[in-house]
Amino acid sequence: MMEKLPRGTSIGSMKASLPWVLTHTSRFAGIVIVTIQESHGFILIYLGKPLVYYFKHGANTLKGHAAYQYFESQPVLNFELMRYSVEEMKTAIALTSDLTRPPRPGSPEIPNLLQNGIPEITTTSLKTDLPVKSPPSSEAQVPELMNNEVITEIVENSIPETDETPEEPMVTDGITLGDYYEHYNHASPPDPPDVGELILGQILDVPGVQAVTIFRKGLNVLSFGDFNAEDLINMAEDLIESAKELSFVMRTGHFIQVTLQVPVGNIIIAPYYEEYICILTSPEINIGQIRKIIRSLPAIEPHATYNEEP
Amino acid sequence: MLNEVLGRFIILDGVSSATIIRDSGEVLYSRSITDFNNAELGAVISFVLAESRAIALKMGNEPINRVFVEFRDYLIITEPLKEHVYIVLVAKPGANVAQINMELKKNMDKLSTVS
Repeated sequence: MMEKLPRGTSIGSMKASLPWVLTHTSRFAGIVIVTIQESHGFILIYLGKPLVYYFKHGANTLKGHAAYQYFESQPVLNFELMRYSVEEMKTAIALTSDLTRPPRPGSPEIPNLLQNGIPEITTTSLKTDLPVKSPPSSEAQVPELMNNEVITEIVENSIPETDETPEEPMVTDGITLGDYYEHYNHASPPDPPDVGELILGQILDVPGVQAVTIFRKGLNVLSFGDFNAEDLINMAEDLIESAKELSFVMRTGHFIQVTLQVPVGNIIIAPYYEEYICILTSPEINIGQIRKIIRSLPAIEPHATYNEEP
Repeated sequence: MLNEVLGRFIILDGVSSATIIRDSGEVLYSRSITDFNNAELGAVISFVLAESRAIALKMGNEPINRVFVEFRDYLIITEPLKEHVYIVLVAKPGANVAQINMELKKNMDKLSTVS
């Protein structure tokens, strides 16, 4: 199955929980390649809507609900985001059309796989209560996501509203993935990514940026690049907390970032939404360029301690 | 003499204060055009330096070249002058950091004579 799917364009390899993946792909159209130990699977996503869940371990296969549950049971997933073009998305949807009805729990596949042993992540420091944002809507990740109503919703949301009469009437009843495929032909290209994603992309594009990790409350939420974030996260949080104490001494306004420069490179830490972003760079990087980008990061600081004038 | 050297920083556009501290937080010299409590500033910077050293140690016991903390209304630049002694410069966000760097480089020899 997986080898037949379009390759797409790699955005990066990361680590995060399934809820985090689902709540941070609202502007993403493509495939999330999931690797658990030596086995692989995928989630086909169109603008935050998971269309297909699939996981293969040896001769056993999990599809739909079962694969979803298995991914959800993992505290953290190793995955690679592969962005699809419209053509690639159409191909992927066509190739996965037999996965439109996810098997229900209790189907023969699940006990079979359980008996044969599902690989588990055995080495992780992440806790199962990884603090992630709640999904914006429950249907974004429920296993029944491929029923007719949800597919209809996907199609309706995918096709831009227009004053012009569409060439084909919209199918709203008994719709299948094939129908969705047809309608996808008329869908506008995916919306541009939101500000945070754009800025994160800008940071990753700066020459000299070696790794980026996003963390919160001592937990690594997402990592780009070859970087053992676990070791640094707690110390990085302590550094931020002590730096923010300066706002009690002076009327500083809100905290933007702290940069530690050492001969081997720089560590830049800044608020990023409700989390923090930590950027590792080579020593010769243009710090001013990073500063400029960081100043436009969306930040909702956890435990913000400001001392501002009224 | 060091007070005179520090004065060269506070005449730079956007620079509010220049202070020399020990890593314990003790203030050795200071020139300022604002009403910051320098003793408190030194104390907090000493904590920032301690946390920075912990990270630098993790990265292979690297020496700290600079700690740069940025807030909406201020930048705080901390650089080592010699073992256990640092200069702390407070500036507005619009200050010319390149100019501050140049002044630091120009005066590093004199600043390093602090005892």
